[in-house]
Amino acid sequence: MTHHVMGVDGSYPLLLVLWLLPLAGAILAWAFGPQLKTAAGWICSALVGISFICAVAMWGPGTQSVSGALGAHQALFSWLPGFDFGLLMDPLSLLWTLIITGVGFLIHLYSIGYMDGDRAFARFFAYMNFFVFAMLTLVLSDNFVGLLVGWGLVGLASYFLIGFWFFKPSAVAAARKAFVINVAGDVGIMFAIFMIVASVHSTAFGDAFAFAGSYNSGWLLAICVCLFIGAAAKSAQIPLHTWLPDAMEGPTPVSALIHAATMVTAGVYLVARCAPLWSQNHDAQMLVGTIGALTAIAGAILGCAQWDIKRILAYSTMSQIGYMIMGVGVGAYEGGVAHFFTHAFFKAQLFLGSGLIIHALNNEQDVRRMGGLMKKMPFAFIAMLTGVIAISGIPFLGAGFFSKDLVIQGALEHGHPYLYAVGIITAGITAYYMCRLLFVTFFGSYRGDVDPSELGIRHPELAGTPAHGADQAEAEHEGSGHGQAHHAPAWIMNVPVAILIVPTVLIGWLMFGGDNSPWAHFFAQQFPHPQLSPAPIGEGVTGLITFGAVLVGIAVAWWRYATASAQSRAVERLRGESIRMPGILTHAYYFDLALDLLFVRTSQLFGTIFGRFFDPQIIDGAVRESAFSAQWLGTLVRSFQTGLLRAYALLLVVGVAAFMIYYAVIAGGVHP
Amino acid sequence: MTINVTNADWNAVAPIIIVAITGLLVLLLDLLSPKNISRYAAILLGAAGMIVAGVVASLAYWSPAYVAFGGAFIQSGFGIVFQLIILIAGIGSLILVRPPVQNERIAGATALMLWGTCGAMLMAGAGNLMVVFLGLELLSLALYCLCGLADRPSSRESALKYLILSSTASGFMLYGMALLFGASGSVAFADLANPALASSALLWVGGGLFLVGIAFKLSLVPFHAWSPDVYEGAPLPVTAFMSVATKAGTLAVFARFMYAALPAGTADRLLLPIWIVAAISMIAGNVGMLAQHDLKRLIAYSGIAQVGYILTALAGGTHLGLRYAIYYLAAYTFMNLGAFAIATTMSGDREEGSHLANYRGYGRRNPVGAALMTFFLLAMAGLPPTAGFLGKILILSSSVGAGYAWLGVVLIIGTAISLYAYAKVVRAMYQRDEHVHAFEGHAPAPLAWASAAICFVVIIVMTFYPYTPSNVLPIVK
Amino acid sequence: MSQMMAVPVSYYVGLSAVIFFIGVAGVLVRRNPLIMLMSIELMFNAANLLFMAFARAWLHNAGHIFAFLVITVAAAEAAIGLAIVVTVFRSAKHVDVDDVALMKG
Repeated sequence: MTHHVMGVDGSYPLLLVLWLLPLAGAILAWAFGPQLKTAAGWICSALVGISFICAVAMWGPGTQSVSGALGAHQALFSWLPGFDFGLLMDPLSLLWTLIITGVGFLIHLYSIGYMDGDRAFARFFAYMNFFVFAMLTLVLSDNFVGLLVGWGLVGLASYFLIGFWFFKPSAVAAARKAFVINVAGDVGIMFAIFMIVASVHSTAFGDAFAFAGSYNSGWLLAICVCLFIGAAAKSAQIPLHTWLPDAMEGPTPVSALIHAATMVTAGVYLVARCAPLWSQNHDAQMLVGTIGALTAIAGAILGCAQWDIKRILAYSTMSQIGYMIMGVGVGAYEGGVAHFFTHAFFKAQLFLGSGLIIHALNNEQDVRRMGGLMKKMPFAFIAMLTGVIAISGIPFLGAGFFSKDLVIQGALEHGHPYLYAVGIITAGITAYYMCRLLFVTFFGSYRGDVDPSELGIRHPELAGTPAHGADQAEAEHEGSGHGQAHHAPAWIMNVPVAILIVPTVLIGWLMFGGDNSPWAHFFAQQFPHPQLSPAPIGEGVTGLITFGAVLVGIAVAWWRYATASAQSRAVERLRGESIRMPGILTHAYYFDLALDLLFVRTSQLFGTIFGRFFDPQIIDGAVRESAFSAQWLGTLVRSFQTGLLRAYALLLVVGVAAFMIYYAVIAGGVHP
Repeated sequence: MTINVTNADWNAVAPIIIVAITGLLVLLLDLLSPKNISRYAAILLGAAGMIVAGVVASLAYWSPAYVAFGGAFIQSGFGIVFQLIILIAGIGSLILVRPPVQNERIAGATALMLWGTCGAMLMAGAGNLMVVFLGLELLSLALYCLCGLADRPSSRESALKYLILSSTASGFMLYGMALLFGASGSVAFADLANPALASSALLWVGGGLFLVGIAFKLSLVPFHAWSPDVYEGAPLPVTAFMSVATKAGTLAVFARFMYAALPAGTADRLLLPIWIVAAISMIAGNVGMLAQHDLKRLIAYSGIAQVGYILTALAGGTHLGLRYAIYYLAAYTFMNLGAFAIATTMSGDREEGSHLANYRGYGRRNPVGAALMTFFLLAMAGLPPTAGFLGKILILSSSVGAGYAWLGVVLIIGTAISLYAYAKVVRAMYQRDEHVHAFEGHAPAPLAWASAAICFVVIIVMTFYPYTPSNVLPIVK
Repeated sequence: MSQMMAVPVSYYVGLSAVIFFIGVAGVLVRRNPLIMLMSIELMFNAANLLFMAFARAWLHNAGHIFAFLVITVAAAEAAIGLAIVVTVFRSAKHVDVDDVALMKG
């Protein structure tokens, strides 16, 4: 069989360098952490920065196109025929690489300030660099096995970083939950690989895609579903989303890098990468598009019910990834990927901005205990304001508008009017809860000195913030030796935020101009472009309708939280809202409960296995008995094993008789 | 018919002779040496003999196939690969020998294991039915004795069960051989591949009975009933040996039969029952594992399924399939030996503690051992990045290519089921230790640790540098 | 010679099949391991008879050699079998394989 290599084969030392530098940083920081102290942070940041420069330098080879081969391919080592390993940089992976290293670099810088004084400062950076390496492995691999390895490693890195403050039981539980769900996703991808290998005898993307048209359609659907199980687990799509809000237990830079900008978008990458497969199967597209749309709106609604600033952002991440998945699912690949691109900037901006607040308020995360921060923290306000404008999709003022429009319009163009409608409604809800966050946090007067019970905070089960509260924050503060009470944000934290403001506001213009935009040119050869009949509603009109929904959302938020009367009675209002919040929202539709019963309990053992293996100190006494639902089947087989020799002999003879009947029939057939 | 026996003929069986003579030397050493000689002496001598045999065998690997003793024994790349796997199994399980096999029995146990290895090696190189039977019985007779060596009722029971059931199965197989002889007028495999025989009822019935014997030795469902009981009762090193050497030897015979001894056009119909029982085994073996509480029993069930995977590779009779089957067999050998090595380090002086309850808290008591065990179990389950994963991928690709995709599907389902069962052991190890252990005073087992470490390294190397032997065909010249 | 061949080979096959099934039935129905071993010997000897008959029919001495081999193996098996049965039932009053079922499941 001829093998189909993607990309122009060649030797690209820069590609290797940018891939391996973060690994070197991780090893360095891990091995010499105690000696390096704060220098570890600078070294690791610098290495990621150099990686970014290399990635920029790879722009030329990454976007080259020679006789149908797109991008650069560097062979690494050959396994068996069909099992070659290599790195592939084409526009899609170039985009991800730039974000991983670029935004990653800024977040590394920010972390130097944020993690200042933490006992395990060097270890944190080792994990972060390891994550960058794993993520680069994921997006640069030219085959499914390499992708799966990266996929597993980012899960591991995420596990380490969520549970970084392992003295918090909630962090440990969150880490384990994330790991369990992600391992379930890994197994999905593993089975997809099995099926792909069974069809094309190769794990290379090129081979798998070259035969995309010749798969049996049921088989292809099964492959796509298995792949999507992995994508949904990693990208927090319904019903595998429940780990993401809990993952906010990790340090805020981790949330920004892993659980907003990069790792959680791996599912989007996977679907976009496998576009040739999805394009061949309408059912698979429908499934992914629908799940994406459901996640978008479900996440947005949950975002309205949260009080923890990071959990609001987590649900908004889930919702925005829903948009991306919807985009790549329906076939609007440029749109889905564009939303990943802009989201990486504005969500990192929002997380880092919220980190400034959390840091300054001594680890307070509850927005009810904030308020009136506009004057105290004008820089954080500007950072958050630009982020909110971008995510809400206010036309031309923020990046999110352009990319979200591409997704929503794409859904319509590809013949999914319902998903189109969901996209528009979600945009309105998004504007509402993000403005709610902004108004409650920055407007009115400071409520940090108000008795928490006045704000309804003594009812954590009603408030939907089970894991947080003053006590938790205090524990974190004491335990980590992190922060020496009321630290002013160091300049090192402000610089990345300031830098991020630029793309948050402006980067969306790359997507302006329809088919002639720089964005469309960049991806012209990457994705399949089927002939589509023109959409019944033009792009400009869609933009207007969306803007209308956004305006409604902002208006409602303004009316509820920002008018003069609302501000003057803010305490009572927040208390009332906390208490009256419907249980179905505060419990996130009871998904956790259902999943726990169905799924987590049976596979929790994986978490136990790896949890105890890799970090025995983390999981202490938290191991629960897990039921083996499949055990009764085994008992059935056991019942044949009576232990009696003669019974075994009888079974043997019965088996022989069955064999002999068959052979006698065959022999009779050949010997008339 | 006269057969001229030349030096080349003796060279072909030299590895087997070396192993056999080493067995005698071990007994002699035991007779002549003082009582207080280290109990490792016999083991080390035996292992050394097998290593020498392995080196001698591998020297001939690249030379062209040689038919020795008038077709009775064939020295070829195919046979040598299997012989090497068997020797590795022999060494890997011999060095696990320790109490509860008492000191004075060690020499005997070593000699029996060496001669059992001889039997399996004979099977690997057998060119006719007679040598197959000789090797099979040599192996089985040694195993009957070995099973009963431990001084406890379950060990004796396992010997009795194995003796009766295996002899019965041998009886079926022997009768099948007699019918095959009747069909072809020859005991040589090569003479069976005569197109004229395709219409002979004797061939079909004889072949069927022959395959029954094969299925029994491979412990395929429904001929598997002996294996969980025997594996559980037998001493640990014997179980380790049985789980690999018997299967390797029998697979060699089966592969030779299937690739070289079938009249054209009969393979699909003649072998169909084997593929069916292989499919049943993949499901039943993995399901059976779920409810087990004893490591040796669990591995017995796992072995039932693993053989099903290997047969999946062979199905269709492609060259690639054979290579992948050998690769998976080798990987399986090291995974099993590694797991048994770790189990040995945990066993006490009298009892072997293979019950899973004894593994509770092992992760805390011995993190390295638990990590290695986890690795071996995950490899058996076929999780990446292990040789087990790669092996399964290879098997899948070849089975689909050979037109046996349905076996591949069964393999995937079986794999999914097995994840739970393997995870059960891992879970036990990392579970909290609630009760006091019966086996506190573990005797040190440096050889077992060395074996586990070697298995670990080999699996890693196999994963990243998979070598599937390319000169295994033609099997019969 | 011609007298010998007067008995067609199919008669031998039939007789050996009967002996073989008696052996199989013995393994299944008898509870004394010694008699089970004897039944297994019957199975082996049925095969021996077949080897001899086919060796005669094909005029090929491989059958004879095989039969000798089987006799030797059967002798070894009987010796080992007896030893195992003795160790298992050393202290038992009755020799019954149904009493030996420590391991199951």
